Amino acid sequence: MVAVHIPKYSPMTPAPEHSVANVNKLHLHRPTSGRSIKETVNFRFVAGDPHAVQQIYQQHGRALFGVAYRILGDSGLAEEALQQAFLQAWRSADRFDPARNIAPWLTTITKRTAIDVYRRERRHRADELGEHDTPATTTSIETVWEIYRVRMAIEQLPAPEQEVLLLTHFSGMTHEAAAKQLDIPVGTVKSRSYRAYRKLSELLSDLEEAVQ
Amino acid sequence: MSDHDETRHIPTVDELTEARRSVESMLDGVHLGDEALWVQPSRELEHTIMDTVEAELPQVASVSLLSDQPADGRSWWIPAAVAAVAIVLLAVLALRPASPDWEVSLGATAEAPGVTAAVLGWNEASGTRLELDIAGLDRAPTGFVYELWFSEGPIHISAGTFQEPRDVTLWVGVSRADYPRLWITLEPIDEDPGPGINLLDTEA
Repeated sequence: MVAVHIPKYSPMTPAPEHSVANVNKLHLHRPTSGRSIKETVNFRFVAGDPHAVQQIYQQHGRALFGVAYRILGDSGLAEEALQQAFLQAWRSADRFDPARNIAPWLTTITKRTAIDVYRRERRHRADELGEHDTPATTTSIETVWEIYRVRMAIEQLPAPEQEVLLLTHFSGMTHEAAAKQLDIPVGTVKSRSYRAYRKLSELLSDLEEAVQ
Repeated sequence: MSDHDETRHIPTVDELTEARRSVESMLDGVHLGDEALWVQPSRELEHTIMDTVEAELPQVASVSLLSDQPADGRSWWIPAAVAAVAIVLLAVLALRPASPDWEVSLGATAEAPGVTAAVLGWNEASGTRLELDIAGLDRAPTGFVYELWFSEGPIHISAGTFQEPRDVTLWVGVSRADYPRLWITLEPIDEDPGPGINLLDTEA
């Protein structure tokens, strides 16, 4: 693993007036580095800091789980695939350029490990599944990337808007049924849906270019 | 926004339809009702992944050796396994000598009077294994962690964080020879990636 040179951080904060014992009472003012946390986490990940893995999981894990689930269609297997994906990413961290966005790299690894898990399972149940790969294993990298991106966009929505989309799209409820389920007016469901669509459009606008 | 505010402008059917189509037109192989967009992993998965990763730390050598073992069930696997174990033990002994390759004392800053610490390092092929020997420091307060840094001038590399300053083992992918300054800070758990309050430092 090569040494990673992290660009200069801002100077240290001025010495605080309180001791460590009182630190819970402190309101700390530290200069920000001027660099995104994502980039810094990448550097720490490449440098071999296991805590960076945890941060990366917390940021990308659910979306990557969606990627694995899309291929495997089973939560338990998707979790197994994601576990293997993170382990593989950790083992090959020195081959990742920390200046780049880590999401496409992780998405590709997750897709590959999910397909490996799928094929292993398929071998165990060959009689049931036939000789050929199902569409699950031929899911394109573009599609799994879209899964990743849409999940990340949904997670950026406020919880009430996520909830309305969950009920109206995933659960297939009408606006009226969702309103009853949530015990809110139908108009509120429509307003939340509308705002959610508008935000998703903004967040995913670059996908539109890719589609066209 | 309250429910009252939200119902002040209720979108028309056309507005809703147009907004929905706007999203769907961006998607190719995915639709908003796709299970893969909504199904959630278990809460335990994060811990499982972290356990798996952390288990790799001291076992990198043994994993890479054992992964080459045959899996076809032939009977000679027992002596092969014995030989592999012997190789692994030798590798572990070679990679993790009883005494560290280097040891550095950290002096207390004014923020941590009376605290002493030493960092013991084992130079390995892919980085440096570290053990911390700290005296006089309590568990990090709620919402904070301690963090060990390797620095060369303005360049700071985190060697990891810990809350309980007992039996601390860390690993960093850089060499002590390249980063002469070692220091431990107290970090609030937040989004700020920069070093926090300097507690112990080779330069103190």
